[in-house]
Amino acid sequence: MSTSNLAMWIILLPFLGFLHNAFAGIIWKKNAKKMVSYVAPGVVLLAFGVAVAVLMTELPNAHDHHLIGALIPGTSASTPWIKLGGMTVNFELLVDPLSLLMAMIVTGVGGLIHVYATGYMAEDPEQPRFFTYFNLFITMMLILVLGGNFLLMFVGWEGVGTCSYLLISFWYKQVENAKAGNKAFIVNRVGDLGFALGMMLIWSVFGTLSYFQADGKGVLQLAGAGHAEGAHAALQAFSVMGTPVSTAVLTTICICLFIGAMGKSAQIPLWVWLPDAMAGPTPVSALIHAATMVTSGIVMLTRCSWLFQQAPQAMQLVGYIGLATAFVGATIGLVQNDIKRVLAFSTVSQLGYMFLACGVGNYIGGMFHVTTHAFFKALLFLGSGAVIHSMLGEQDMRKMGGLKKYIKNTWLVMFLGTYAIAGFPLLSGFFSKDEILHSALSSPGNGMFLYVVGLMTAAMTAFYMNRLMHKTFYVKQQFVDGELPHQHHSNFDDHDAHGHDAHGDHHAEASHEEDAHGEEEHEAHGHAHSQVHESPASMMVPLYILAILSVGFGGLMKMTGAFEKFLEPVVPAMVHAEAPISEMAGYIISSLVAIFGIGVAYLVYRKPAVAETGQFIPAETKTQWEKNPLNPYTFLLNKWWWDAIYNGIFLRLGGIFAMLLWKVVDAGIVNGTIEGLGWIVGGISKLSRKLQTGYVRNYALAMLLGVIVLMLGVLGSWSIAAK
Amino acid sequence: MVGMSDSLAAIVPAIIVMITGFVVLLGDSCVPAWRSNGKALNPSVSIVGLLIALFFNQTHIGKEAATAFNGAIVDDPFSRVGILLLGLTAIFSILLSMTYLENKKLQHGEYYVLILFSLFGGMLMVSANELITLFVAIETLSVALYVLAGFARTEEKSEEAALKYFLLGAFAAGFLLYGIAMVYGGSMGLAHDGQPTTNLAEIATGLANGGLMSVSVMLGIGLALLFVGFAFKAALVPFHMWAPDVYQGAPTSVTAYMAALTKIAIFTVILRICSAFAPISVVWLNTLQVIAVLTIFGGNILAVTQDNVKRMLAYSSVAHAGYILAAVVAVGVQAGKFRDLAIHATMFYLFAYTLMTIGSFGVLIWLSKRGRDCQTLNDLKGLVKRDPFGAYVMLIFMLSLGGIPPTMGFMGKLMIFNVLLQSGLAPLAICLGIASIISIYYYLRVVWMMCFMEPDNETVSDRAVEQSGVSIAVVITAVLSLVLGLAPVIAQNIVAPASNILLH
Repeated sequence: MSTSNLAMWIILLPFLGFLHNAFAGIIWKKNAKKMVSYVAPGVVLLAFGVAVAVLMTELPNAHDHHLIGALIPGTSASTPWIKLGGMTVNFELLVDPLSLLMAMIVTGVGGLIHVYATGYMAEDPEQPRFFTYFNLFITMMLILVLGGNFLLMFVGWEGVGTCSYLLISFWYKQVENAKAGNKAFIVNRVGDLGFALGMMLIWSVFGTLSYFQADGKGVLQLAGAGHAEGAHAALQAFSVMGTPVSTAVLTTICICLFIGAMGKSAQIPLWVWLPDAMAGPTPVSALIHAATMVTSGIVMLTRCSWLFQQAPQAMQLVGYIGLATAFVGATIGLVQNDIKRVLAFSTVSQLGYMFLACGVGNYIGGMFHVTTHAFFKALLFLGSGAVIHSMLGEQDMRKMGGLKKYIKNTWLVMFLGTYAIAGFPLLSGFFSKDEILHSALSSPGNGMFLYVVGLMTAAMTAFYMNRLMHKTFYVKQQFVDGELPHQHHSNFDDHDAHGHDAHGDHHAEASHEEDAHGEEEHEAHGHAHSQVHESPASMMVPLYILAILSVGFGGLMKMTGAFEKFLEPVVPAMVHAEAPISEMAGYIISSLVAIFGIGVAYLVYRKPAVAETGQFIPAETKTQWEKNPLNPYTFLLNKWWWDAIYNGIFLRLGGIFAMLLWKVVDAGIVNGTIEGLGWIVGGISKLSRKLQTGYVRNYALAMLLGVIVLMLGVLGSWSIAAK
Repeated sequence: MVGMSDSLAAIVPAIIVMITGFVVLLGDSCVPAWRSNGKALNPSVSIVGLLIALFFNQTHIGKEAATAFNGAIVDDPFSRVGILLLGLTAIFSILLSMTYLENKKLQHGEYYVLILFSLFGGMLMVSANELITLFVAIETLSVALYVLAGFARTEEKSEEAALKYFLLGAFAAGFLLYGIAMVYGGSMGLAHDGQPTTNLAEIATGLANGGLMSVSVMLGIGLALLFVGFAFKAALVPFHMWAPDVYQGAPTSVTAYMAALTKIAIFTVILRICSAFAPISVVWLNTLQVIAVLTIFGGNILAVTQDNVKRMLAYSSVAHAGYILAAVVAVGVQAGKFRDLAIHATMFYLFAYTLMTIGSFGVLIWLSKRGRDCQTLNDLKGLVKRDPFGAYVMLIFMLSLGGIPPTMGFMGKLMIFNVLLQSGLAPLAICLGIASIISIYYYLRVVWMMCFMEPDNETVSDRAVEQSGVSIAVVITAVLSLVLGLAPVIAQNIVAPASNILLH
């Protein structure tokens, strides 16, 4: 078994960065913010360099396409981490194409987002705290993808959950943010329970938690990874207590793991936390809630693909849940008004696609979409962040419009990102989405159904993304330049307002001038003095890089076939049925669907009346509709009443149940018992304190009693034993 | 029989410690230049000596076990692990003492000499393979500690503590010595030459061959009396009553030292005795279980109502002695079948206990200022605002003492549970579980005081200025408590050689 010496540094570098940022205030005093803005992105980009080095130097020589590495310098991969009662878990890393691909996405895209965040968070007084969490997140995410056993993956899993929680509620002074953080954390608990149960089942069935072991008894090896005769044969050969592992047990394991994936990757029914998670700073949404953490469910499924391959029912469940999520997410995305919420629902929907791919056994296709999605969704989030930044914190698209002339560069990258996600021919999203749709079509049984719903979702995606573009950039300006309120978040409102005062006054003057010069002047010179301004270079450069990747990566990989070849060794081959249409026909249909969606958006929002207000449906009609809870618009606006239903069932009913538990069980029985016991313990304690007189003679007496106890005990036992 | 030089080689670490003690003693009293720099010289020379001794000990840790001095001393990996823990305790305690003594105007060289001599006694205790040697070693340790307890000569409490400790210690020593005599008398026929013996290896071999029927009941009486002596040193209920008074009265640095040192030394001795007497465990197993349960509950329940943190920690150390004893008795189950597991858990727990005890007393020292000790819960009020660092490390120690992950205390307790359940001592495990819940109350009360209460005018306000030694000790123990809780296998590997115990 080959070993990797470099891999640990991919994880350790961000970890050192985390330590540095955490103590930056103590080390650097007043220069802390500056140092942090160098170190935080630096370590992540360095880690990316290490990942590339591993890819170039170590992986090609790997036996059987995987390497095992240690996590702690100076130890080996077989150094145990926990050793207790027959269970041994090692500090081990697994480097294979899958984990390395994810490591490069996490550090590469993550590094770009770090650079972007140095610009975005520059004015926040708590910037070091932000980057402390951010680097910790990268560390945890890398442990998740590179960990060599389920327990390390679980550590990473919980770690990213914690960082997500901390970052969603980063601006904790606002109650909604803290609530959103709680929601994400609590909903994820449900999923994590599933993961934990799955892990325990794996332990009891396979007797280990490692993916690969030198003796060939790792979980994935037992499940068939690398077996020439196929996975099934391997599992049959492996038996627990004489009987082969039954499909039912494997299905249970897979469903438990999938429940974990549902929580982390925001699938129905555990998806409700993701839209609210947008309360965090935008780089957080881009990194954690679009590009990396939310895809960890797909990574986990792909990692366990050998297990899932044995459990067709679990795979079917994955596929249908994925499809449903894709569809529901897209429908809700049609009517949202908050720019980040549209993107959030789009993320939910795209994640659904990825699960659909896993469900039909096309793991490579799923990972391909993970990769391209990481590029264009990070781009879109960061772009929307640039929009929000330039709008001084405004997120409501109804109050935007006409931004194209102010922020041309941002518009350009957003435009490319939108066309990429919409599946416009030959852009990255086109290839990855088509790959999934085509494999769905060719999956045996229900292929046509999956395909048609998938296509409808694709059309909706193309529509709502262009709706976003129209509302933000093309329709008539919906705000008065110079009168934009400052809405930048911070936990230190006083400080922040003060910092902006000078800035704001300057703009107020500018707008006063503009009013005097009239509309034409505004058009001509408004740009120079406008309150709306392009973002700094630190924010724009990452956007350009991501834009290039969003445009070209998919096509490049598809043409060369490199992606598929790279991942082939780590996942089982897909079981194909004959697709009713050829691949080229699929491309044409996908292109037409995408162009249809884009075209509809164009037609709708270019109508003069609509372009004037930026609203397709007049506001009065909407108010009218919103009164009727069954109206389709209201239905979508309120996310299929999903939150309301959860509120009703889990919060209201749960609340009543909890109330019952509290008043009757807890206050009455438990509290009574505990308080009674506490009272007794306290009483005994007080009584026995009286024995502690302070007189040596009393202590000696107690000792004498002890002597008697010991003597009687020993001699009594002796006489009993002697008989 | 081995020669004299080989015999001496077996106790080199102890000899180094003793020589260091003499160097400090003579240097401090006879060399004027030394005397004027004693403040820095005494502790540093002591620490250097200890480090050399530990280095020597560690280089030999895996070496084959041997006996020396005609079998009176045994040098096996088990004793070497014990010596390692004892030595670490002494180093940390010296670090704790430096500024504290200065603040209390107790900066005398004898202090370090006494620490080193008591450590010498402790090292001989863990190496003793013969009961008379053991007795002498225990007394060497005790006499030095009596003096240390009364080291704050101007404080009434300190004097009282020393006197109580001495009187009761003498009382217990009588039982111990009488027990040794009885064991000697009862061991007729166990040794290969048929003569009575006080050599543990001979007793163990004889018992393993002959069993219960081969010895007279006098041996049982002797064993019970031996346990009386040990129970006093380990502060097991009902032999614990000196502990709170002495812990509270003694200077805090001495308390920290005493609490950790005595526990390590005496429990290694109990482990050795129990292992030797494992063939007749039917005689003592139940009784020691009763003592363990009494100690676990007694210590915890009494700690609940304490307002003085030092006193609370004293009772808590009684409770911890109960936990350790629970692991130790597993040695006797099925004639020593679970010995390795029990020794492993006990040594690991002693390691954890050392770190958290030294650490939590260390925080109290750290917060004390000139002329006023930080002692009561009141003194800790609002600490998180006044001194966040102190509050956070105290939090780590309280969590560790309470056995809450990811601290070392949690792992230690987990390992004890593991031993108890595997060896079929489930009732003991249940008692341990219930008592742990009680203990959370008073540990978290400290946290509550630190985090949620506002300081009042009786609170010790600010700490002494120069505190480098204490902060080093506190930071190291806190970091170790966390790191070894997260990666317990490191500590497990350190104590792993202890399972290699020489019994014949």
